[in-house]
Amino acid sequence: MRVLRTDAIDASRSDDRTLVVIFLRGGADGLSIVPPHAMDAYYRARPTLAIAKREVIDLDGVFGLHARMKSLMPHWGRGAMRIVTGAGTADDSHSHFEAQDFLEHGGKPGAGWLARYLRARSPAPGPLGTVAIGTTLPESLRGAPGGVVLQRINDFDLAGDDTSVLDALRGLYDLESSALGAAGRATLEAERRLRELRSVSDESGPAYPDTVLGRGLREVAKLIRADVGLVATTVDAVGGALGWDTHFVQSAAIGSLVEDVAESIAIFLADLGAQRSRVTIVAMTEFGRRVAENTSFGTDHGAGSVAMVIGDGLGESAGLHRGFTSLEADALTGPGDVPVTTDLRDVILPVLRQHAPGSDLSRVFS
Amino acid sequence: MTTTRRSFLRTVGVFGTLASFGLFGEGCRRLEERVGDLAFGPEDAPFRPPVGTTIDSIAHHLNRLSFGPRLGDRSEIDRLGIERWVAGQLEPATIDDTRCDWRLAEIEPLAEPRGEHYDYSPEEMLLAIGRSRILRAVHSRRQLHEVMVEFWTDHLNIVAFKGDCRWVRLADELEVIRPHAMGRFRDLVRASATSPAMLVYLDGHDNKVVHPGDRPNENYARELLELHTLGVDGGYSQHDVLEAARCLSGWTYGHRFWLGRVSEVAFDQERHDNGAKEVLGVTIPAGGGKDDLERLLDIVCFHPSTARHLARRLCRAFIADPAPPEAQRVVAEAFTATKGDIPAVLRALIATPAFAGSGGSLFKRPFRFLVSALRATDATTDGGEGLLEALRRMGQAPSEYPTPDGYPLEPEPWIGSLFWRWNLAVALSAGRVPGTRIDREAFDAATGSNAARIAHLFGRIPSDREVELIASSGDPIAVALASPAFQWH
Repeated sequence: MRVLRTDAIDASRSDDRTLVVIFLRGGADGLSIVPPHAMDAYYRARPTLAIAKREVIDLDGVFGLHARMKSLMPHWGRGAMRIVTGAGTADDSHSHFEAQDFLEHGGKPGAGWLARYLRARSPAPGPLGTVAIGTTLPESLRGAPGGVVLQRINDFDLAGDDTSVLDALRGLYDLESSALGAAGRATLEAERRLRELRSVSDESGPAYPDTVLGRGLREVAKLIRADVGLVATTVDAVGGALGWDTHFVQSAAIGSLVEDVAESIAIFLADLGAQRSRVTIVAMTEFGRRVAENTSFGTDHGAGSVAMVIGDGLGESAGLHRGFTSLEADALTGPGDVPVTTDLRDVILPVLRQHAPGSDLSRVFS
Repeated sequence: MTTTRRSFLRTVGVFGTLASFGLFGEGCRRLEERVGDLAFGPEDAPFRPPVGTTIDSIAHHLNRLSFGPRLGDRSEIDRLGIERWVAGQLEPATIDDTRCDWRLAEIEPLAEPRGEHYDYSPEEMLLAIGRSRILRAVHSRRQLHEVMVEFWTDHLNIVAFKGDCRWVRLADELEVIRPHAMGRFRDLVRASATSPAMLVYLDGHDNKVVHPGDRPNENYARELLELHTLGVDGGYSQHDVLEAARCLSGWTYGHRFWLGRVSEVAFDQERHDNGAKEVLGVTIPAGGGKDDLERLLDIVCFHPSTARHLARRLCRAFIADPAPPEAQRVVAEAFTATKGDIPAVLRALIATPAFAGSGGSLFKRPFRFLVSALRATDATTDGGEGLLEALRRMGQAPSEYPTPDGYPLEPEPWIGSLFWRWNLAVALSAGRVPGTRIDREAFDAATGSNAARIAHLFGRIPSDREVELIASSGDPIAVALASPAFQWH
């Protein structure tokens, strides 16, 4: 397994950086996101659902970007994107839950890699340092020193101006010695910060895709622009009801899935304006899909997929990192999967080092 | 569009309801009164608060084997004795539930064959699932049955958003989960394996082997082994998944319009891989046809790993998380000895010392938080959109969990959405949840004092400091429901 150069990233910037983790939950097909359009084996293995050459924007002569992700091309052009093919984890269970947990736990049982990063990071994140967009805390934040789960900032309103209920709750949660007590106190502090934010925020701004990812990134942009101390945020790109788990008629689903990712990110970066330079996006998935299509015109669970890092200051690490050079049978692994040639931890760790240059991050992944 | 008969019936239904109950907004309360009046007698035995400084045995049994105490539950258990109460809960068919059924009468799809469900919109079906789940959890006297319905619904999770699941997800609950929730495990899995919603959700309907070399769709086979039976550490391999998928090839699902809507599961021999298979070291001879399913289920449902996996999940849901090893061993033994007789397995679990000693140690998931609050405060509710929206915020709306592993049992994923519990507690107390109302005067009158009220909600006598904080907050019901003590069970 190849370890990416970690010294290629400019570590001089540090102040108030925000890490945005986008999880393409469900096993996203890297071969559709970054199709190897110069490989005949790709088209032979996928007669009904390979991305046609005319629908691929070439990146390096072998790999290209799905044409419906064209809105990311300006960022590719300015050297603000790293694309890693053959990215994945050491988990070979082919199980969503095993693979997601393995990835979100960073290969260590019991707690999330993002949680360990937040605990190791100095200075410690504030009450709104960690926001998970969604309805439940993701595994990557399990064990985090506090975390708020929300879908929309403006919904975060308890009792209007009357704080007597909040005062009573503060007293009660101060009596609670379990982790619930700390969670209650973090929630009270977040409520206070968001109450301040609500009074100044407005609903104008660019039109994001009306998707889980688009709506989520709009809220993240608000938090970043309001400078509430957001250190890390997670949001899923689940692409509607069916998501990335394209066992069945994949070609009907994949275009809108990849477009959602590209459009949401492009609009998010534009929305951030000058704050863009403080933000790094990492987009990844728990595994890719089997190279050969199944009889349902879909693909089953595979191994290597693709990961993307988008942000300023990538330096020489920007560009396309080829993980595999062939899709012929002898180049595949397991039941016919793209081999994992880059561990996702090696994609993430340089970003963490850039965001927290003075912190000891040695225990985040090992 | 199928506007005619359905719209007509629904219009008649609405006018009928309006005629019976007058103003629509009053319908809920009037229905409540009529249900109360109609020969069922008073709903509850007299209120009696807990008197221990820690959660006592009665409170503990109500916390774990029901969705939390109603006002009269303590005195009813006192009268019956805990053992008799438990024995009754383990045999739900012996408990009359007419009053609960009455409350469900206006949810039309519940009484119709599943083919008819295609006449409704997905939104109407989602509402029917959510309403019936909430109303049953709040009002059914077969409380342990309802708790097990929730358990199996997570264990065999199906999201109501994928393809035909939008219409047949309710039928999975009515035809698979409910009839077998307190039955035999293999019967439950057998029903699930050929449930239309499961066939759609995990792509079994398209698992086919027509030409030599065709790859079967492995999706359902994998979850059957990983989640439903053996567990991820259950000792199966990728080869076993493939062989199980071959066994399952050929089952299909479709619906059509033929003298009304027909929803059919069928086995298509032409799409079945009829060769020999080997699953977990057991050979299934060639030519088995549709019986391959039965052989496969015999292998996986009665496998020792399945007993361990189910014992672990049951212990995590009913005792403590992580599961206490000794209790897990005892429960797994009962599972094996009774071949997965669910009431017998639960009886063994309830008898463990670990169960008795685990009072107040489990974190309420949002659904239980909501239902226990409604039960404790004797709330009137239509179980409708107001509550479902609150459940979405808290992260646990019925049938909306996207992946086959079901809503998590552990507390950590739910702690971050604490704010939405507080929000709901405040809204309930203020009467701001549409379709749901706590009669605060009646509740205060029934419970007498603040101390007794809080003891009822906490399952134990509150500390002086707790009483002081709650009583001085200006909104004691909201603060008590939002307090740390009410989040545990």
